[in-house]
Amino acid sequence: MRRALAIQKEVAQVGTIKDLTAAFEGIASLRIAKIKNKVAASQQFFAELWQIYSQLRVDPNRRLSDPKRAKKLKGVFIAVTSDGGLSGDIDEKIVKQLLSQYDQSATDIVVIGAHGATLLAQRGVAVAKYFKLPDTDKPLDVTPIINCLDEYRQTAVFYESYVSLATQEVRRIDLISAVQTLSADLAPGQAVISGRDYLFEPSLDEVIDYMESVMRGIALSQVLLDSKLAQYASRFNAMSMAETRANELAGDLRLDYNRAKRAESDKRLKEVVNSLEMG
Amino acid sequence: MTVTGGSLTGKDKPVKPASGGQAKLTVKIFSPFQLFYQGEAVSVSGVNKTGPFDILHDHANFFSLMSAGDVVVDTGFQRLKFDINHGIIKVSGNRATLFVDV
Repeated sequence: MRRALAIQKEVAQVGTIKDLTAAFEGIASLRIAKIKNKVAASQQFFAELWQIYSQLRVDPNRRLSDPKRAKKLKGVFIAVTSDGGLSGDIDEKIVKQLLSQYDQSATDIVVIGAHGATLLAQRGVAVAKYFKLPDTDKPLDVTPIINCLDEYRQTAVFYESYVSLATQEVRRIDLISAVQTLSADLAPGQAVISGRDYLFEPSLDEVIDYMESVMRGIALSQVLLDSKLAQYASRFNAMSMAETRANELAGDLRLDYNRAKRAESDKRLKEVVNSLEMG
Repeated sequence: MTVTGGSLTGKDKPVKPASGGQAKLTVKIFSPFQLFYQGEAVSVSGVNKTGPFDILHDHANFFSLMSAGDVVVDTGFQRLKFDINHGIIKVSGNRATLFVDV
C-alpha cells in the first residue's frame, strides 16, 4: 500500500487540475457569450449591405455562383480547425469527413487552423494553403482567405458547427449557399439603384464585385465564428468532463489516503503492543 | 481601424446642433462587428480611386468604393477621424452609409 503522505500530495495535484479545468470552463463560457454578440452584429451589417445590393437589381443567384472569374479549374475544400488542442476530437472528425469526399485531381485543400494542418500532414495529405485561425477577439479580417478562395470554381467549407452547448457537429457548406442562407429571410430593398440616378465610382461592376466579395467574407466570418463557438463549447464540455473525472479521482484518493492513514496507525499500534508484550 | 479626435459612436452621445445652423446629413459608419459613428454631420470626407472627396448636405446620389485613408466626419463642433483600409460609401437623400474595413 502506498504511503499516506504520497497520496496526500496526489490529492493536492488533482485539486489543482480541478481548479484549472473549472477556470478553463469559465473562460470558455465567457467567450461563447462574446462570440454570440459578434455573430448578431455581423448579421445586422450583412442585412443592410444585402438590402443595398438587392436594390442594384442584379441576380444574386447567377452572379454569386458564376465561376467565370475563377483562375483555377479545380474546386477547393476548406477545413476550419482549431489552432491547438483542448478541443476534444472534433478536428479529427472534420479531417476524416473532408478526406472521405476528397478527390485529389479535382480539389485542393486549404486549411484554417494549425491543428488541421498537422492532422493532414500526419496523413501525408498535401495542403495548397494554410491560414492561421483569425483571432476572434479582434476584428476578423478574412480578406486574404477570400482572395485565395476567389481563384477556385467551387468552395466547400468543412467546420464544426455549434448546435447547443452539449452538441456540436461537423458540417459541410458551400460558401455561396452560406451567402444565400444569410440573405434568405431578408426582404430586398424597394428602391432601385441604377446608373441613371447614381454616380458610381469607379464603376457599377466594380462596386458589385466588391460587395459580393464582402458578402462572401461575412459568410466566411460567420462560419469561422460558428466554428470558434463550437470549439469553445467542445472545450467547455471537455473541461466539464475533466472536472468530473478529477472530482471522482479526488474522492478515490481521499479514500485511499484514509485507508493508508489507518493502516499506518494500526501498524504503529501493533508495534507498540508487540514491544509492550515483549517487554 | 484607428479613431482620433473624439468619441467612437454618435449613438451613445447624440451630436449637438451646430451653432451656425448648418444643414446636416445623417451619417452611419460601421463594420461587421462594430458601429463607429451614427448621427448627424455637416460633412463626411474620404478618399476613393479618383482622389479625396467631401459629402455635404444635398449631395447627389453617390456610390463608391473607398480607398485606404482617413474618413473625417465634421459634426459641426468636432472632427472625428477614422482610419480605414477599405470600404463602400452610399449617399442618397442626405443619408451617407459607410461600410468600412470589409
